Amino acid sequence: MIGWSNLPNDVPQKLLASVEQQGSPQLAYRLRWVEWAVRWGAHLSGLDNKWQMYGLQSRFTWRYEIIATYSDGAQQIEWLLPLPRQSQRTLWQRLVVDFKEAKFDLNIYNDSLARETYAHYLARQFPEHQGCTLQRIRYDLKYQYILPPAVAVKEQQLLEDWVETNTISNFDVSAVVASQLGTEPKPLLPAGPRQALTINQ
Amino acid sequence: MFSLLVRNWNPFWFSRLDARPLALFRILTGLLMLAMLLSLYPNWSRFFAADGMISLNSPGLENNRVNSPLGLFFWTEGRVPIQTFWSLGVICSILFVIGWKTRWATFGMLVLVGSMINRNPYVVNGEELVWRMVLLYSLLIDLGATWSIDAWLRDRKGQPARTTVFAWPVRMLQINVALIYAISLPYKFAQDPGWVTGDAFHWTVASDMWGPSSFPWITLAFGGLLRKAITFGTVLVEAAFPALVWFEACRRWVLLPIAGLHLGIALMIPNVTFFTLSMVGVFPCFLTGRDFDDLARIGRWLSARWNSAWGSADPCRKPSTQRG
Repeated sequence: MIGWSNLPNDVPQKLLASVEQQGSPQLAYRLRWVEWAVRWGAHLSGLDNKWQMYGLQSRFTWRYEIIATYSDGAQQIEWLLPLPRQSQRTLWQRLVVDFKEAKFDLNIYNDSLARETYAHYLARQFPEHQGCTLQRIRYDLKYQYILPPAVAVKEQQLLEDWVETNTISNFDVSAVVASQLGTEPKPLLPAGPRQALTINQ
Repeated sequence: MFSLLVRNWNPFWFSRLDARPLALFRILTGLLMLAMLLSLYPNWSRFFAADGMISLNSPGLENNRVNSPLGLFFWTEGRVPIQTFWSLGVICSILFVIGWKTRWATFGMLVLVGSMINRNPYVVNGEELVWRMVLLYSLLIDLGATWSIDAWLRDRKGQPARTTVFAWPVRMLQINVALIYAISLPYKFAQDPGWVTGDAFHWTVASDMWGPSSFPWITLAFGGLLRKAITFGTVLVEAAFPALVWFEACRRWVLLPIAGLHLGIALMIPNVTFFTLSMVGVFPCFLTGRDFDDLARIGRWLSARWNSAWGSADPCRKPSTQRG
């Protein structure tokens, strides 16, 4: 079960396709059913983890800068949100409290929906700043190439000097903020006779 | 080879094993789970509450990857405050460490860890996956047989002491742990040429993601020879462990290096400390009663040496009556 779950993704499919081509369709159907049952059994029991510890190493070091854009109609403010890994943290926070932050950043790297989900959370946490309302959450990816080992040894440094910035997501979160703060300012005067009646009561 | 396999099949699966290594595994793993929960306290609601980073009720957003019905949090949403589960987790991990109602504590921790994984997979580290796996097997193992409140209570009731446990669930756990290394090693070679050239450690050290870049000298020193030694050493240790840990003659010689490797990683790479220590916490399952007897012998020898070296010079010691 564990071994099967850890095969490269295309291997089971190729095996089943070859059975389908060379054997009988009934046999292929049964094998597919067994394969599905094994995968579900592994998933339900939590034994379907892919164990690839440090298999593929990144050739650049990177981090996010998550920036909020606020506006009051007349002016626009950008604010680097006070989050772990992008704000001043104490030693205790860095070593103990923030132990999941790096993995979280890694897990949302290839998942735009995950970044949007987090952006909604940030919109609820930081809806206003200096009297302005939050409009957008932007993910800037700051990355620096790692020097190849031989060059690094020669130059006695690990990273290239320049830092590149790419915006990988820019979410409009004004609807989240509106639902958090209330959709629209309350009208000062009643709009119609029914509403006026309600107010007079 | 085949006859060797047949001859050892029954003793391997169906004998009984000393309970002390399993008790040590229980204590170490429980302490680590407790430490992880305490470290998680400031972020618990942020990670797992409905209005936390999973944004369950956010308008116009549907993320099916979070809040899976396979976790308990899905079913208790809106009924039980999420902070309650943190408290229950702390209680279960303490019970697990002291070995009181051990089977229930194991089940409680398994449910909690599974719920955390299914609620917010974006914050899952390796330690949760390791613990979910080992706790599943632990349900089948008598972890409270010794060094536990359960054992003490049995003793008070005059029930016989349990010094051994069934081997087969322990063997399943051991095989699964060995498979982690047996599976990850080919992936290492297939996915990154750095594991073949001896440069893989360089990319780890240089990456801010894992945090060891404050020790750049490790990869830059001695013209990169230290880096190559560490990379190839890692490969050697990870290859030897799943292959040789089953043989009594070399079991200790592969267990010590792999535990040392993980302790080194824990010291150097703070972001994976709990994962790498969770592996160390599982290694006692590979120890035997003889290891504990030998350790006790060494302890007694050291104690005797200490007493002979320092005991007579202790000024607080009462003078001997025979002398007077």
